[in-house]
Amino acid sequence: MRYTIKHPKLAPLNMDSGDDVMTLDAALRAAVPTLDGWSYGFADDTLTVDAPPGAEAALAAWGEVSVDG
Amino acid sequence: MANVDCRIARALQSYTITYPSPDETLLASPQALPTSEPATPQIEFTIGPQHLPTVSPAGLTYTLTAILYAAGQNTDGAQQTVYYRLLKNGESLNTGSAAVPAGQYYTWNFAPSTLLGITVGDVLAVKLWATSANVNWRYKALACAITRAGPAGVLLVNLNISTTPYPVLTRGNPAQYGSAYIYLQTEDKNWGSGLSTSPISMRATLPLGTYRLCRLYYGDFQSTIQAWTHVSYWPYYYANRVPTAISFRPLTIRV
Repeated sequence: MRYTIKHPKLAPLNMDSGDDVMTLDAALRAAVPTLDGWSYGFADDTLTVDAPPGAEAALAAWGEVSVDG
Repeated sequence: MANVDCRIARALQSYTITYPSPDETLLASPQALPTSEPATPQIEFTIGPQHLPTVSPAGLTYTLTAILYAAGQNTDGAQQTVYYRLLKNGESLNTGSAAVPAGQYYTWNFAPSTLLGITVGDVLAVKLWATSANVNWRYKALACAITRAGPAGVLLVNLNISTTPYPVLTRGNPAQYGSAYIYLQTEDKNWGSGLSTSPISMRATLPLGTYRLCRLYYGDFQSTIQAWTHVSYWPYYYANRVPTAISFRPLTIRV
């Protein structure tokens, strides 16, 4: 499943920092241990997460989750 | 195909689009990834004329885009995470990660919509790093294609579009669903009809200003950055179904 969160709550993390990218990755994988991968787009400020079904609730900490299927 | 009253139909316009071979590099030996973000990208392409499709004759309106690939292997005995940062002209476009199982190969497929509108001289770059130095990279590739091709706001008849899968890399395997469709746009909305047949023929259509006649799937219809992993396939990649010939007869009626 692909989950999309527009304008995710990332502060105080800064995605221009590789260390903060790794910190976000660890937090996402702690919340969703079965997570396959994720991507953050700077232009549209959108977090996209690929994970098995049922991850909506765990991802809600970062914002409103929409499921793309 | 039906005959058209020549009082309202202009001459048939026919365009041929030729694609160069993708720009591929296989390193002589794998290079270990750093365990923190590197200062300089391992992968860098400066878009040049040699990367671009050739449209003949000139006059077809279109938008350029690209797909980048980066592949390597997790030689570690445990699953590892591979991080990336995609840059255009030094500015971050995207960042993220993927899990790579022990021993498996990975291929990053970079086809975000932020690559729409690339031009000659743009520098596309990728930084890679991982949770273990036992993860490496060895292969990179770039392929540019046209999307959103054709006129806008003009009724067209006798439309024909031929397509082909692109790129076909010299090694590796296309991923499932790779190169399946081109999207025919009959309205200026963010959806369309995905078609895998070639050629596509339509009696009449009305392309509009944003998406025009047809769109690529990866990088336009679907903004995608994804790492495929496999026990033996590398690169394991998405390809698009790209237009190779477009012909139509515009009517004098504008909308």
